[in-house]
Amino acid sequence: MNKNIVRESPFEYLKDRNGNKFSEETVKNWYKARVYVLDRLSGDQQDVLIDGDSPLMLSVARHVALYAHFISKKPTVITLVSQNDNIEDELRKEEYLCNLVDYLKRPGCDLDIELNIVKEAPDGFQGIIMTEKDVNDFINNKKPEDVYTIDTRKAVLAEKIYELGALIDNLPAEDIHCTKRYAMALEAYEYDFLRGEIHPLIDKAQWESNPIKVKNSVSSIYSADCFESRARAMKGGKKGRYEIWEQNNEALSISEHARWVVERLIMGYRPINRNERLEYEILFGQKRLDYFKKLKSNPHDLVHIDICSYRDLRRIDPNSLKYDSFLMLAIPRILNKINE
Amino acid sequence: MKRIGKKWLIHGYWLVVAMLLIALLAVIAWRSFNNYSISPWLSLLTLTMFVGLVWGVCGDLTNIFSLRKQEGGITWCQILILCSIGIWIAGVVWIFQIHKSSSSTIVFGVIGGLMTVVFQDKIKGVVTFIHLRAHHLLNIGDWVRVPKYNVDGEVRRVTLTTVTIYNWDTTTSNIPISTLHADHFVNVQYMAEGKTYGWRIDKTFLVDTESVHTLSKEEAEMLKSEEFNKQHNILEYLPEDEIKEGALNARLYRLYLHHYLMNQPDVSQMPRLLVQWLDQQKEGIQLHLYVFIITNNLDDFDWHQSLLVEYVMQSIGWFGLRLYQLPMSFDEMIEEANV
Repeated sequence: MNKNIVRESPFEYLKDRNGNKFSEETVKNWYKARVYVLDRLSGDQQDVLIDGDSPLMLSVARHVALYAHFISKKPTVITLVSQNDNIEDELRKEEYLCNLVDYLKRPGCDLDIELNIVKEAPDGFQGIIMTEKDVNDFINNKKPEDVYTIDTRKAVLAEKIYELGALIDNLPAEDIHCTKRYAMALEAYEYDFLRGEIHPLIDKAQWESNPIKVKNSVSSIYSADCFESRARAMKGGKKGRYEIWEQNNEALSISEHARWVVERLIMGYRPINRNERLEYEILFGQKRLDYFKKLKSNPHDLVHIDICSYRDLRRIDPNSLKYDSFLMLAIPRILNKINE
Repeated sequence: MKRIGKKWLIHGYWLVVAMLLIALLAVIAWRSFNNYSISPWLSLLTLTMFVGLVWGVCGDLTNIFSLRKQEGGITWCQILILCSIGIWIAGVVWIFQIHKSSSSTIVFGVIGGLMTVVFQDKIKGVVTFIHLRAHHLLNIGDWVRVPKYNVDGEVRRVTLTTVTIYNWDTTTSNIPISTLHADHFVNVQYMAEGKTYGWRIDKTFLVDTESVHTLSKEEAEMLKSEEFNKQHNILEYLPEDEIKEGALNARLYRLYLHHYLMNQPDVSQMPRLLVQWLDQQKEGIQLHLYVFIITNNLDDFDWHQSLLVEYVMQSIGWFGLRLYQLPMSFDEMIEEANV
């Protein structure tokens, strides 16, 4: 399987709200930040200090927010050191943290990351310190193809698991952590979904014309990038191969939902506002679903109903809960497939 | 439907049973080929294993087919199970050469009939016990309600014949287990553990029809005013353009309560949330609330239920509506005195 590694460059296809592609420098910074942050966050959960506010370091902040999601009740604090008084406005740009900045300020926000902006680096900081020099040194020691292309196999398989989740429609949506049935579905269908060659993620014709498809696929890449850290957290103990994943399914699903919310906010989505809320609450059945669909398919103003806390998701859109649970149970199977 | 993964058809233990079955069939074929006699018990074992294999595989397939709503395979599995039972009965008749003329058959038949009559409750009990346990319909510690016996409590003991339930009024009930197969019983455990959409509140309030009216300009302005909203914040849950002169206060209140409930952190929007007006009666018009509360605790549920009732009592007046109460004899006395 390792002979068939599919390496692709998906970030080039991302577009902003106005339908314009991002600058070459921005895209390069994303690639650099991605490999660097994944490497630095490969240990246990620690707070992060980002020393600097250059475009590269703001891209690093973006990727720390995307990947610093651990199964822990304590949020990861991201401290950004900047002398710029308008740094929040800078962070609000689509290439950096976009809507995440304002979402983190909402009262009662229960995401698993916190953003702290300071003028001076705090003394005696305990955690991971990231500097521009550190990033550049790291990148200079890497082959360009390892930085500017991505092995998309895990993302492709993650998308297949989403398809499987859509196919299995008689799961108890409300009893989401009844993993017996999820595990059974995976057992029964994994040969159909995970067997055979892994096709490339990028379909050029579709990607050029459908910005939302691109965002969803890049979303699968971000999700798949966290598989290894989740697998590290699940190791240990004397439990069976899949049993430990089943036992921790609730914690994993909560963490995955928090990661997904952060990712969607960074990708330009926003939560539903008061007027939209009042409108959908008096729509019922298929009309309500159609309204949600309409909101999330407008590339100029992307809105997603599921951008909310895990607890709210359970009461607002419980049928979506299965996707997180399914994907988390499938991680060991996907990793096995990749390492065959 | 996507093709079933082959892995499940050769699932661990069924593979072992299938191999044993093949070995037994090979022994029978070999003895038959060499004209050796074949023990009827060996034949019975082989037949039983075959039926067991069909049951097991069909059971697993039924579980898999049940993962999707539109799945016809379940019916075929059940037909196969039924056929295998028929094959087993026919096989036993054939293996033991049971036919009308055999005298021992008559004796066995009479004894069997008598035993069935004498031990019918026990037999039903055993069947029910296996049914309930095999399908995980009843476990120790489950909260169950058996309306027929007025039983409502926690299962403490399950035997082949009886179920012991510790009622919430601290009494203990013993009921025949066969009742749980023949009669209706409710297992509340899933709901109690918070694994469903929530605990249902189904409340009706009687609103005095005389208080239903269209808003005057002053009333509409008051509801939209900053001062009023500082106190009650109704604009958070009600579109501003709905509040206007001529709007029906009953409609506004229904809308308001609907939006308010939709946004309460303990109220589930699924499977349904209803705020509706029911039939007009001579006392007034009924306001019906059908709400699911997400909780895994009975006391917490009761607390929320009370909060909801209190909120309706408090907020209904903001829209000029009034709850109805039948005049008490005390009121009538005062009225008469005034006359």
